[in-house]
Amino acid sequence: MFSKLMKRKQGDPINELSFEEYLSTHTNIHDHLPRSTISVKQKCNEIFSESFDFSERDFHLLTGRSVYICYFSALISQPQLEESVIKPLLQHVDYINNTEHLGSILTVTKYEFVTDWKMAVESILDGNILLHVDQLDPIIVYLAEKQDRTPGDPTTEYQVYGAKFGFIEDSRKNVGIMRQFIKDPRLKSKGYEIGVVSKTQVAAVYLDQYCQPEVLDHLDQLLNSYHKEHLLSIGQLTKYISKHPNSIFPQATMSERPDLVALSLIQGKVALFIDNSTFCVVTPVTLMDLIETSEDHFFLVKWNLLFIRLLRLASLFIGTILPALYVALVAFQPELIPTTLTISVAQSRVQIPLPATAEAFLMMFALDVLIEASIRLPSFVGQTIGIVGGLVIGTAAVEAGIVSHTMVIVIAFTAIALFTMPSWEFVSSWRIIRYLLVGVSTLLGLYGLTLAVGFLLIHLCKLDSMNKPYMYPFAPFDGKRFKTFFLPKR
Amino acid sequence: MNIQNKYSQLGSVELFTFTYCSAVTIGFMFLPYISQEEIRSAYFKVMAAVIPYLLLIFLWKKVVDKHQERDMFSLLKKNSKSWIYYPVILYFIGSCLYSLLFIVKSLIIIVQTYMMQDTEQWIIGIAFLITVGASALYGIHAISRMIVVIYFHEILLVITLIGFLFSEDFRWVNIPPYLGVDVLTFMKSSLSEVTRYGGIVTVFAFLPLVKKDVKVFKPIIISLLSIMATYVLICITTLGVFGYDQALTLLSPVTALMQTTTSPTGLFERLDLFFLTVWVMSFFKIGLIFIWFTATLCKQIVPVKPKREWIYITLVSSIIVILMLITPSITSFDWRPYNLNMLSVSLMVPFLILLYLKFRKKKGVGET
Repeated sequence: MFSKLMKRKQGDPINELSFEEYLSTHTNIHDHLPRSTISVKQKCNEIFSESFDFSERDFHLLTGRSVYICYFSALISQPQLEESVIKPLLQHVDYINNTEHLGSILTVTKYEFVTDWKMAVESILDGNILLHVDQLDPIIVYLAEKQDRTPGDPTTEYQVYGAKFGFIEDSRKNVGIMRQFIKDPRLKSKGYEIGVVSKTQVAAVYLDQYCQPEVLDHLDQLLNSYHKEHLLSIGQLTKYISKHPNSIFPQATMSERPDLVALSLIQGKVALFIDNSTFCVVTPVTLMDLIETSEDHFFLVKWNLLFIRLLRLASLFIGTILPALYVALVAFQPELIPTTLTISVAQSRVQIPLPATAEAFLMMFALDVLIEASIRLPSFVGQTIGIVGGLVIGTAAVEAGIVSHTMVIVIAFTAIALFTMPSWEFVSSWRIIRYLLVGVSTLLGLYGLTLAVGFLLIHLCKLDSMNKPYMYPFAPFDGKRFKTFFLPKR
Repeated sequence: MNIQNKYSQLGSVELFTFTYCSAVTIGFMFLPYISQEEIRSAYFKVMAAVIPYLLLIFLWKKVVDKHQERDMFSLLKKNSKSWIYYPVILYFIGSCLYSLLFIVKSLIIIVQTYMMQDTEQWIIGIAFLITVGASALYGIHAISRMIVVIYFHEILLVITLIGFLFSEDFRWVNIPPYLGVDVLTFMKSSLSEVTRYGGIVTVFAFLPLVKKDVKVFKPIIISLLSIMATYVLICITTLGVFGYDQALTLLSPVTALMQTTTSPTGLFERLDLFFLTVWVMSFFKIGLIFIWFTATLCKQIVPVKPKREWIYITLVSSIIVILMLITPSITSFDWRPYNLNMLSVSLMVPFLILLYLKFRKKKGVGET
C-alpha cells in the first residue's frame, strides 16, 4: 500500500567500522590486561597513539613498585586525581600489597577491576582513569568530569509563565532535572549506548503505569537495533524512531523545556535524552499534541485555554490554506468574493504584471528566505533583517508594482498565523504544504484545492506515532479525550 | 517492528460515520426530484424507503447470530457452490464500477456547471480519480478515520438546512403532501427513493473489520435513521422554498437552495460555491468508499497479500478512468437503469444472500 513507501528500510549493521574490529587490530579485546605496567603502558600508547590529549603518568613508590596512570586530560578532574588517587597512594605505600587494598586507600566513590581490554579502553574514553600498580590487577577509577554547564533559559521555546530553565548537554543531568519535576518512583529511565563509533548515551525516560508497555517495548527494540556508526543529533534519532520518516509531518517532537516534557510524561509519553543535545525527543505525539504547550495550563480561567486552542487550530487552517484560497478565488472563482472586495482586489492588481500565482509564490519564497536568514543570524542582526525585510522590501515591492497590497496582507497574515504553533518543526511542515496547495489551486482552483485538502487529510489520518494515530482524538474519535483537550478537568 | 494496540481496529463511531457517508452523497445532492417523475410527497417515500434497509440489517443480524461471523461474503463462500458465489461477486464488482462511473459523471456535471465552466470534463474527472485512487491506497483505516474527521461537513449541512426552515423564503403552504397520483408513477418514483440508501451495501465489507466487542447493530440503525432524517429535511426545505413546480426543474435542488441565501456578514457573496467544496468533499468520500469496496470484492475473486492490494485499487481507478473517457457525459437525468441496478445490488441480492444464509443448515466442524 501507499504507506509502505513511507516506511523505513532497515540498514545493515556496519561491521567493518565497529569499535571492536578496530581494537582487535592492536590486541585481543577479551584478553586480561598484563600485570606488568610496562606492557600495559606500551599497549595503551599503541591504542591511543596520535592523541595529544591522552595523558599518562608513571612513578615509583618508595617500595620500588611502579605505578602507571592514564586518562584523557580534558575529561577528568585533575585536582581530584591528585587528592583522591596519587596522594593516598604515596601516603599508604606499605598497604599496597594486593588490589583489594587499593579500595581502602583511594578516596573515590567508585572503582572497578578491569576485566579485559575492551572495558579498559571504553572506560578511559568515558573519562575515567586506568590505574595500574605493578604486579597487581589494573583498576578503573571513576573520576570523569564532563564538560557541562548550569541550566539556562531555553533559547528556542520562549515562555511567559513556565519555568525559566532548559535542558543541558548531559543526558544524565537532564534525567535529574526531570526528577525535580516528577518526584515519583515510577519515573523510570532506561540507558542505551548508541552508535558504533560515537557511543552516544541515550536515556529513555517514562512514567511507569502511565506509558503503554507496547510503546516502551517497541522503542526498546528500535534503540537496541540501531546499528549505524554514529548518533550525533536529536534529528537522527527522531528520524530513526519514526515509522514514516519520509512523511512531511513530524511524528515526534523536540523540546528543551523540562516543564513541557514533564507534562508529556504525565500524558504517558516517552522522552528520549541524548548526550550533547539540549533537546529531548518526545514520542508518541499526535497533531493535537503539537499545538499544545505546558504553558496552556497556566491559565487561571479554563475558557482562555479553550480560546487559545481553537485559535491555534484556526490559525493552522488559515496559515496553510489562505494563499491557495486567495489564488483560487482571484484566478478561478472571483464571484465568491463580495463585490466591493472584488473591486478592491482588482484595483490593487491593475498595475501588477505577474499573475496571482506567481505573486503568491514570490511572496511566500521571500518570506521563507527572510525567516531562514533571521534564524541563522545573531539575534540583533536577525531583528534588523525582519524589519528590513518586512517593512522596507514589502513596501518597496508594493510601490514598485511587483506585488499587490492584498497579496502582502495575505502572506503576512499567513506567516503570523502559523507562528501561533508552539512547534517550529511542525510549522516548517505546513510551510511546504502551503506551496503545494498554491500549486494545485493554480491548476484547478477551488475544486483542486478541495481535492488536495482531502488527500492531505487522509495522509494525516494514515500517519501514526508509535502506533498512536496522528489525528487522535478526532479519529479514532475519543469523546472524553476530545473534551479534555479543549476543556481540561479541574 | 509493528506494535498492536487499541487503535488498530475500528469502532462504533467509525461504523456510524461510514454507514452515513456511504449512502448520503448522491441522495443529498439530487434530492428530492430526479428522473422527472417525482411527486410532492417525496419526504413520505424517503421515510418509507428506509424500511427495507432496516429489514435487511435485521436479517443480517439474525444471520450473524446463527453463524457467529460478520463477513457476509465469506459466509456465502463457505456455504454456497462456487458457480453461485463467483457470479454474485462479479455482479457486485460490475455494479460498483457502474456506481463509481455514475458518481464521477455526476461530480463532473456539478463541478462544470457551478465551478469550472471552461474546464474540459476529462480534466475534472481524471483529477478526481487520481486523487481518490491515490488516497484509497492508504487503506480502510485511513479512509474511515478521514470520514470521521470531516463528518462535521454533514453536521454543517444539516444545521444550514434547519436554518432554512426559519428563513423568509420558506413557505409551509408548499409542504402538505399530494397523494392523488396513479400507482405506476408512485411506484416508479419510489424506486429512486429506495436507491438513495443503496450505498450502505459497502457496509457489509466494512463490518468484519469492526472490533469484535463492538455492538454493530445499533450504530447502523441509528445511522440509517439519520440518513432518513437528513433526506426528509432536504425534501421539506427544498419543497418549502421552491415549491413543487420550480423544484422539479432544478439540477441540484440543494445547491439551488444554497444559492438563494446570502451571508448576512457579506463575507461570502455566493454561499453556494462554499457549499460546492463541501459537495466535492462528499464525492471524495463516497469515491474512496466505492473504490475500496470494489477492490475488496476483487480480493474475494483472486486473493492477494495485503501489500499487493494496491494492484486492485489501481486497477479499479484505471477502469473508471477509461470508462469515463469512452462513455458520453450525462445529458438527461433519466436515472432508471442506475436506480434499478442499485436496487438490485444493494437490496435484492443481499436480501437473497442473507435469506439463503439464514435458512441454510450450518456446516458442522470439518464439513467441506
